[in-house]
Amino acid sequence: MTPARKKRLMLVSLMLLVVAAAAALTLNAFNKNILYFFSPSQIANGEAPVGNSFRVGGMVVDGSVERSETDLGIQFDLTDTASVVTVSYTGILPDLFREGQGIVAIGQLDNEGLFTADTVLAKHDENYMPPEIADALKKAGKLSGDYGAKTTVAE
Amino acid sequence: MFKWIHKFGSPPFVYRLCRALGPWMGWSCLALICVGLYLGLVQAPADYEQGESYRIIYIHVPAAWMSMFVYMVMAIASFVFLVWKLKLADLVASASAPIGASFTFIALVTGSIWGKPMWGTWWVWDARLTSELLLLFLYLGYIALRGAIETPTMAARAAAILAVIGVVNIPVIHYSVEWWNTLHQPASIAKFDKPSIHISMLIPLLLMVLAFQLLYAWNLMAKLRTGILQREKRARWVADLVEAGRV
Amino acid sequence: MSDLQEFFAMGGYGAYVWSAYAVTFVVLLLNVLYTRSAHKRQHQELLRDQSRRRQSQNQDQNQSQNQSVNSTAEVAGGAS
Repeated sequence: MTPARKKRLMLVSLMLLVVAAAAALTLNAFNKNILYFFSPSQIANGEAPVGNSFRVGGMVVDGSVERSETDLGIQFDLTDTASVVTVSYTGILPDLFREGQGIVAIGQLDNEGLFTADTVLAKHDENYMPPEIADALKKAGKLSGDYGAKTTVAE
Repeated sequence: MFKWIHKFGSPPFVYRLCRALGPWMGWSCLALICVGLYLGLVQAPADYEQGESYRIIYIHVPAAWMSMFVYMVMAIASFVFLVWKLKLADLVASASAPIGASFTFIALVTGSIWGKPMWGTWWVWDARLTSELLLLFLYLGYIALRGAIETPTMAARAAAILAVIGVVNIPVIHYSVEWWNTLHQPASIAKFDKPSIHISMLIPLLLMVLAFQLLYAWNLMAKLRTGILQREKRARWVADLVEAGRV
Repeated sequence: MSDLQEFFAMGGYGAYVWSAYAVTFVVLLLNVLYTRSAHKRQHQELLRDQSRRRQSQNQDQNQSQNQSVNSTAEVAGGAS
């Protein structure tokens, strides 16, 4: 390699390194400040802000879903297997919303600990399989409702 | 030992190689798309959770993979161009940009169409979706930069620098689902020994990935031929090709 | 419902699935068509260059032929 080429190579590599460092710092900030994400346990510990909008993720507790008879209102419990938070929502739910499903709700927490969501998003896992296989796995105890719970352990 | 590598710097050699391989790529791509779509849309069973809607996976995942793969090719070619001044490398990078942008656009649009019924939203600013959108902007920025600078050598160099810098976004896209709490689920085929997708659904998916790879290779080779002809239009061998009717 | 209708309905997700596939293949097809037309344009430009080269070659040849005719005439005239 000629010295001129070596210099160019060094320059490009150095630039790449600087930009990578800058990106890493930005993303770190992004991680901490922009994605207001709290688990039901954090809410129970009082870490979540009251009156400010944030996201809560967890699994819909079996048998906790109560639908309003007059409108699209719904109330359900959300858990990360350690703690539970009650969520109320009015609107159209995603097709994947069901008991045992991992979901993300965006909204605000009131003083009584009730989370009022203005958006409810369903989260699905990375498993794809035919229903018969899923049934067989469920019977064998290898695929219970708790797969949704792992969506919340990241925090 | 590395003598053979110099052949790839020779325009007539690359031109003939592309002309010879092109039709094979095109036809095998078409055949794979037919088989892949038949297996994916007709033969594969519905998903236990998402029903029939999951079938968008057969275009969404290959397009998303290709959006990153094409960018890697573009970045490496740009790096080779910056360091070794190889003009053909610049040609590879500039020909890849519109194809990569198309794959990125497809990944974003099909993901959005899939997200509406399943997640309950067309779009969410989570790390996976945002970094993929940034990838589209990188491609468009590359294309715009080439168009904006008048001197061809300056334009090529500025665009190549952008392509190389933008490569930091690729690991961010890939690991975003592990680093952050995204709405997007983790990869289904992260580990080949035990993929989280049933074999009857996996085979059509892999066929479609291969088909998209071939589509890229085919399109890239055709674009390379056009680019070489344009750059070498005064060369003797091009005149001979035109004379012989073998362009 | 017939099998075909069932296939196109995609369990109620037909609109989503087929619009996703339509967008994908339209974009990919546009890519291929654009590449083709660019290659054709380049080929035509090369053909134009070629015919221009031939014309100028022919002109050169004609000119040199005329010149040689003139010069023989001159030589002939000079001899007489």
